[in-house]
Amino acid sequence: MAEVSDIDLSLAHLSSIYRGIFTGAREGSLERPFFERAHRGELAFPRCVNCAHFTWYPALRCPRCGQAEHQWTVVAPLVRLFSWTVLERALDPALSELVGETVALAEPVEAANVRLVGNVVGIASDELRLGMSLAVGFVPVADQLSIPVFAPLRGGVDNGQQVDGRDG
Amino acid sequence: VDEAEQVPVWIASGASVGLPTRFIDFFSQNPEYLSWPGAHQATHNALAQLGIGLADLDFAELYDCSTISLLVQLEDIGLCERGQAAAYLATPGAGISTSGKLPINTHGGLLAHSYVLGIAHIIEAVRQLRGTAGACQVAGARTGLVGLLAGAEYCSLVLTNWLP
Repeated sequence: MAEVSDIDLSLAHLSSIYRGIFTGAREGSLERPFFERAHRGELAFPRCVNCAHFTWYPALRCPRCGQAEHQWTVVAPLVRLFSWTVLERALDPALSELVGETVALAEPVEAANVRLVGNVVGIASDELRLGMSLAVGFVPVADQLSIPVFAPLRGGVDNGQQVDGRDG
Repeated sequence: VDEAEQVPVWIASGASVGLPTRFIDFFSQNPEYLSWPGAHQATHNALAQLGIGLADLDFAELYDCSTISLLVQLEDIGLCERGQAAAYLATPGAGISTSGKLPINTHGGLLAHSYVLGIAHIIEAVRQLRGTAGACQVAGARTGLVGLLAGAEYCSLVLTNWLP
């Protein structure tokens, strides 16, 4: 099982930034359970009860089979890196503290059709490789709400496939 | 009315391909990023309606909402091999300038011209066919392709200054 390595300082840094700008997940919205579960340290996605497809982003009906019933399903906090970019400038001054941060798309190993957006912490962007394994950690951004971040696995960097991030 | 504005330009053919989408369609969840499948089919449908091929085009105006979307269209349409769009653009003598093998986005595209979606590409094609494109004019332009990318849909037009 993946665990986040010693990155607490980085998380605290991001938490203070995101507390100022996070406006998502209003009460009763389809996506709110994601952030609530993240606050409990769980990576969970809505899974179609009929066909087992992960519906991401959350929707009223499964995009694969059209059925309406979903169950929030916890998966391992382990992802493979699909792509990333470094924020070079802030188009909105409110986001200026995020300049220099790395933002990634990553695919949970146990929910391979999902791509998750999150900051990368604890590793320099030039050490990132397509397909590498990263652990998921959670940063508090509001009362009872957290967002995911990606961090190196405990015990060192996994160099992944380096060929194609979409092996899931 | 300027005399040039009375030169007729014909919408000689057009084809649109819409691909089935899922109920939700988020770019970050796209299963495929390196192809717009409708581009090939729409373009070649439009060309086939006129009985012409890519080699008969004098210029093309292709919707370029980001750098890679033009590169992908070059490959999808078949102007170069898959994965070779960057090399195609860099090949001396090939090129997409007004004196190149197939001038593309002669008005500079969305980045250099203005971001007013596809209509500016169509207007530029009309100017080329009327001979009023000024410094951007492709000499002797008679047949032009307009490629309009909209994600799941792709629309191609062939415009001419000769009656099909």
